[in-house]
Amino acid sequence: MTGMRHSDRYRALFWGIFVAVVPALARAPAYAISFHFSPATISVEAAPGQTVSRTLSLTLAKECAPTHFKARVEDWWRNEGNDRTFYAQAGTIAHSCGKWCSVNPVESAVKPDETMTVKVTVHVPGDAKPGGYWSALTIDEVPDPTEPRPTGVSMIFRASLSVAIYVEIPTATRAARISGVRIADGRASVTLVNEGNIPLRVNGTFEFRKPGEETPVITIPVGGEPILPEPINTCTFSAALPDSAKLPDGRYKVRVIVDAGLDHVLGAERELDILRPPNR
Amino acid sequence: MQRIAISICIMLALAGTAYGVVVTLPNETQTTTFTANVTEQADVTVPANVAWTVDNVSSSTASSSQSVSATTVVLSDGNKLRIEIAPDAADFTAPSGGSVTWASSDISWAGTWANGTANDTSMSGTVDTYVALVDMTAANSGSLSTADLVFTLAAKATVDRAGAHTLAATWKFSSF
Repeated sequence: MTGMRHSDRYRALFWGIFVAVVPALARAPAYAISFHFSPATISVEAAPGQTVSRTLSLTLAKECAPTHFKARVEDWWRNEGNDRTFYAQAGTIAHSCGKWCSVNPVESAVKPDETMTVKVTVHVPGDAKPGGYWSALTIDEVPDPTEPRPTGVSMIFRASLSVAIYVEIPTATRAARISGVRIADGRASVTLVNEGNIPLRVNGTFEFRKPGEETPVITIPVGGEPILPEPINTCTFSAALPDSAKLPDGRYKVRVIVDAGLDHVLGAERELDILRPPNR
Repeated sequence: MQRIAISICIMLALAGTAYGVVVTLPNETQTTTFTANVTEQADVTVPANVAWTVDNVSSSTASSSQSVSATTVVLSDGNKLRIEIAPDAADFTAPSGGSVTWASSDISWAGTWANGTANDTSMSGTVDTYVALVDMTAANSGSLSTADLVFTLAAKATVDRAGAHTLAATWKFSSF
């Protein structure tokens, strides 16, 4: 740069910065979002007229960009196949406790490594009937309108967290039955009907025994999910069958045992053949 | 004065009951219960976006592998974590002048998950209907993750504009 005029020197400096910065801006990465949250479920037992509060904390990872979050309470339920979740405005379903809940704050700007604490207060009406009520506390990431958008065909994500709120007003009625067991298409499935008025958590196992033998060849866990009393009170819990090395084709006595939080377990048993189609 | 002294003695006696006991040394009879109340929790990470390089609208297009994870997962006994996804709109937003674009249901996915049972299927065509990508295989696993989740955009030969076709979607973490 020796021997250059001042104006030439500044022009060279400008273009040097421009050439360095513009490509960097064009390649500016869209941040993935990462956060820690606690708890995953809010469960309370309350009497009519009682007010109960709980808090949820969300901590943004230090490598993330500052992020806005919004909090709200909404209704939720699942389909019979238990693979889709539906969300709706609080008060949509009969056993919603969504309208009993207030949330504070409803919106918060969170810096990296900082924590957003949301307080949810449940005001149980004085005339609430015994039973189980539920909704969800949902925390949504608010998209940053200034964030560079990818070019071409793309899908832009935001993150959302939903924590179930369960309120039990004693004394709820817990009742359920097994309405179907199916071993087909590489899966073991048990269908339950919730005949009570409170969500039930279902955990179970499938046991595969050779006829005449007491020790199972294999046990497969199913469940770990809730079954609601409404709007859909039937739910199928299934698990993939293991490969033929662990569960060879043949005749088995299949027993399913389900714990739905009742004062007894539910069970069903039948003898059947497992025959996999030959590999082509 | 006598009343004050009696009060002090009563208070000291009560304090001694709560915090101190007279023992003969050596002594190993005193115990304290330490309680750690662990709340349910998890650390989750999702990508910010996924892009497809569509150089032939008559063929499906796969994205690069995406990483999604939930770690340090601590849940109540018998509970599982689920990861779901829902579209924020039923269709992509086409670029200027474009009248045909993809629907949200044109997106499918497949991936292998550590500690998870995958539900390799398609996105819902209905806004805010969440479809499960994965459930924990067994309750109370400590993590749930993938590093090879691929989103595939279906073929759509009627797409009529090049440029940015964009859809917003929401990842959902829940343990109902």
